[in-house]
Amino acid sequence: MKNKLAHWIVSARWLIIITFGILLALAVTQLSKFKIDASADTLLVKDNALYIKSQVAAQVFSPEEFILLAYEPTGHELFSEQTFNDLQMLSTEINKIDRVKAVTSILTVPLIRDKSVLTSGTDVNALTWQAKQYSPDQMETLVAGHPIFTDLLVNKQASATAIQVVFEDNETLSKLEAEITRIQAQMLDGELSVAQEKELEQLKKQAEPIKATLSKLRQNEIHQLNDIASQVDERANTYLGGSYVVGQHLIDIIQSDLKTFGSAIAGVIALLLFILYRTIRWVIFPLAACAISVVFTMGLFGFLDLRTTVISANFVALQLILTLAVMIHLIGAYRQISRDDESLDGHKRIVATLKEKLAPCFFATLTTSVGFGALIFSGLQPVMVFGYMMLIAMIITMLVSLLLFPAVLSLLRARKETTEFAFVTRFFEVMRKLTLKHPITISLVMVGLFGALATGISRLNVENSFIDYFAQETRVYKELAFIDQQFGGSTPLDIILKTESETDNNQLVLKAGNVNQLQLVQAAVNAFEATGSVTSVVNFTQLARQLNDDRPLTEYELTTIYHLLDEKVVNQLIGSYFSAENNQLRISVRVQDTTAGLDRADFLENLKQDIQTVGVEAQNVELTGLFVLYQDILSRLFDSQIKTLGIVYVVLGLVLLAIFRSVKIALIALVPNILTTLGILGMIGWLAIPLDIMTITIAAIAMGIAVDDTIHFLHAYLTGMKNGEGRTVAEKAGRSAFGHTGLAILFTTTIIAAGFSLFGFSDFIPSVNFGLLTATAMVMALITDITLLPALLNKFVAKPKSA
Amino acid sequence: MISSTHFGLPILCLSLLLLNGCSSSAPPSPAKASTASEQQQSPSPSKVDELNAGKTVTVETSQGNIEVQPTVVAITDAKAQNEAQSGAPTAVFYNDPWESFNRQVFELNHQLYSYVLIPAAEGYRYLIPAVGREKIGNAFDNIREPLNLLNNLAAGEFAEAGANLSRFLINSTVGLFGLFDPATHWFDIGAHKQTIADTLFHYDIASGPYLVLPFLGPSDSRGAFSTVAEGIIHPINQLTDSPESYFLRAFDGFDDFSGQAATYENLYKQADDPYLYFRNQFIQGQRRDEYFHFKEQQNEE
Repeated sequence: MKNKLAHWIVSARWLIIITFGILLALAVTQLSKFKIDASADTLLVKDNALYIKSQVAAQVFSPEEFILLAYEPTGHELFSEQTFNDLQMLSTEINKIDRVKAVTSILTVPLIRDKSVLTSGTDVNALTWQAKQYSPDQMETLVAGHPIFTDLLVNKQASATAIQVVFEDNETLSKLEAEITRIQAQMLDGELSVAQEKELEQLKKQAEPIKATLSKLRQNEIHQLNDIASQVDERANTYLGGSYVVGQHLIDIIQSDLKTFGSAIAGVIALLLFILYRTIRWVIFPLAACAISVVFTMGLFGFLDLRTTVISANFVALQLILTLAVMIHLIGAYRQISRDDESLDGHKRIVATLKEKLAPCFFATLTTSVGFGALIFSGLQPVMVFGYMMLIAMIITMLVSLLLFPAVLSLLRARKETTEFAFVTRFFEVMRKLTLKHPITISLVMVGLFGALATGISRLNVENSFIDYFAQETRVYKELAFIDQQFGGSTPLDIILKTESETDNNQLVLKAGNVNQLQLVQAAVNAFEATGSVTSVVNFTQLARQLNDDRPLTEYELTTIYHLLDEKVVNQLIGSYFSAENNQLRISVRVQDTTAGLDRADFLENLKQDIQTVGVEAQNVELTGLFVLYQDILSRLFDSQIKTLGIVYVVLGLVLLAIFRSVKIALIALVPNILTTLGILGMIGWLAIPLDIMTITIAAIAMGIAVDDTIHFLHAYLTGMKNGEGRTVAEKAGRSAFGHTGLAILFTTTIIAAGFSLFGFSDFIPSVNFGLLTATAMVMALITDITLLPALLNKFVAKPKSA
Repeated sequence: MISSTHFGLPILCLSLLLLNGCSSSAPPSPAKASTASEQQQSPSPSKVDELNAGKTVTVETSQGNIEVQPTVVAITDAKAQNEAQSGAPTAVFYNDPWESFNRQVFELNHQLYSYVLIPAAEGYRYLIPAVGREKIGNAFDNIREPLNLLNNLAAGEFAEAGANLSRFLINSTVGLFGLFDPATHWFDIGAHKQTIADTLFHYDIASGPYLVLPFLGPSDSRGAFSTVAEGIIHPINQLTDSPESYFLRAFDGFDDFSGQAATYENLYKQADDPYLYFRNQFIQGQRRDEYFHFKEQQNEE
């Protein structure tokens, strides 16, 4: 059958080329639909209760979208005319941006000096710096340490101030989202009906284009803000913060990484190919095949509307490298065949190459697909999508490299091929003899080495911090870290308290008991080092107490205030903290990502415990928000890692069994791969790299790629065995495996490792980790495949036959 | 990602202070005051109940001991001792044995406010600009200063009495008969209003039952006594003869009221039972002031 297929590919070359040509043209038309979606919520698991609850809470309290622009004077006092002038200038400029609804700064908020100002019946809105022109000294006493503005408009040390830029909601989008959440909320109680599913789908489709326009707008706004801020560069450092800013940075960095590293890797591949083969054709053909695979894949993703996220952004690099790996094996065999019998014409060479390599290449891509496919079972939606995407990419790679590539190759004239480097072949000769003579020693040494490395697994920990995604010396990191440390943290965590609605007294909007319970919880939350800004209704009652000669309000006075304000003002002030309708109070917390040594799981556990300690029963409190959602994912990472690896081991074992039809060989083939994956996990542990949603994919991917080497090696080894008899079986097998197949393995590993190492230069830490660890995994796989694997084979497979 | 906060609380505080201003001050001993829930759940009150009662509490969490000060309290009247012991615990106790009478006066006042005082206040506010009203308020406050002085002396608060004296001398002269308040603005001497009710409170005279006074509104027995007694010895009497003095006193009250007319109307509309709402707000405010006055004094000592 292999024979037939090989002949068919050569004879149907024109058909194949034309078909691929048409498909490629189609793919190119879809390229424009290919999208990157790096918003923070692509990292979330969306179909679980926790996510829906967070959405529901967001609907109830509808916090506003805003960006903070921090201003830190470098040469003058914070409270000085210079600062006030700059703030005013910046505010005026920012106000000109279309979607800006309000620009709030220490200059625009009402500041109350003492009670006497109030008793005279002055309009409170006239108590701003703008109206009163307070002196710098007065401003310092009024603003520094303010219960509401600290961590928002001024930092605790009063060394920097911030402008809060509030943006207008898109009404249509808000309505659509409210509808979506309303339907999703029903998922909390049970399955959705078919009609509801359809409606949901419909709504999401309507929301889609609005969201796209909005994110473009946001991108623009951030650039505008940066431009405006740069006007005060000589006098002050400015920093931009806020969730959309982080998202924008992620998109920027991923886009530039895709471009930079996509082309850098292509360059390195070209260079290495040229060094290895010293022929232009072996540079151009493999690269063209790689490019075609990537274009196909991007086109298909565009067509299927699969979006690249932070996690899947590496797919281009991955696919380039994996496609190349297949081709190097094909080229290696082709060159060997050409050298062995120079009289063969082009077509015969290809048929011979395909006969030898079609099966192992097919199985190798199949097993790589299994590695990625296992991610689908990770249970973490973003990782699952990545699994699907890579599965598609692998199928395309398989088709391009096994059909299109040989078809194109068959158009080439046969040429004389260069010889391989002598030092490489000599090194392989040494390895071959060593594994033949000392199989047990080598096996023990390798198992011992990797076993020791694998002990690092016990040191694995899970953490996730957005800020740590960026390299410390980047501007992005500095901006985010500044806002994080000086302006109250980054990752939002919401604490929703249910107030019991008592029927005995309907006169009060909020009872003293409600507020005091809230205050106890807030005090407990504030006590944590990791909690930055913590705001709720309590901040307002605290200010009220401060102004009321340090005496608390009575619950009636509180209600009176509530009624006296008009509904709009109430909504504006405390709408995002209190919902009378739902009897819910919200504490808005921002967790400081840069807190040294923060153990997020511990923090959350202690927080929950403390909330109960201060008297709130578990059923009356709900923790939601990004922080909780991320933590939920992290808590599942270990399980997910074990599950995906387990699936990879079992499925690969089965595939190997199907390929080689021998339990013994399948088991032996698994050993080096299992050692590689455990070794890489151990290394992650030893290097104290936290296991996160990115690093979790490495082990499965490493296994999927590493097993390629094993299959090629085994295939060549078993083929070689057939040529030997008696005591020469092991030797013949070894010679075959360490021949051009061994070279191809070495080449692919070199190219893959070199390609992935390039990610070490990225500013995006997950990419750095991913690249360097995958490169390491490749080298580990190479080492086990040319030491442990032949040693085991010599010992258990080749030897008994000779005995 | 970062949630937004707004800034308008000051408005709240403004109205709040106005409300405080309208209650005349005074009565029962803070030690006896207790919260609704405390009565409900004794013997061991929860931290929330302690905060409701105005106490500062300490809670122990994973991060150590945290001290929490209440920002909103609900202090109501203490029940007579025997009643508290025998009777079944009721949720909240407001000392209002004369409720049916009070309700009638309250209703009368409401009619009076609605048809006479509020329209008049609107006219007054329309005619006299805010600055003018502020000056008039200042002048009346200044005329009261000797009364504050006497009350502070009687309560043994000599430092505050000294402040009253200085303020009266400064504001009556430099402040042009009290129209301006240079004592506060230039000399940093704050006001220390003290009524007879405050002085009685100082000597542990209980407030007695809640009482709605005609025209003047919410008060209690001690407050009523204070109001009547002050009517007799008010310094205005030394400046003018009756009936001009009554007229001026009424105008003083009207001037105070004018600032709160809108507030009153608004709250009356919002409340389920306006009588209860104004009563509870008055009593809780009184008990809170007494409790914290008591606490502040303790701290001074």
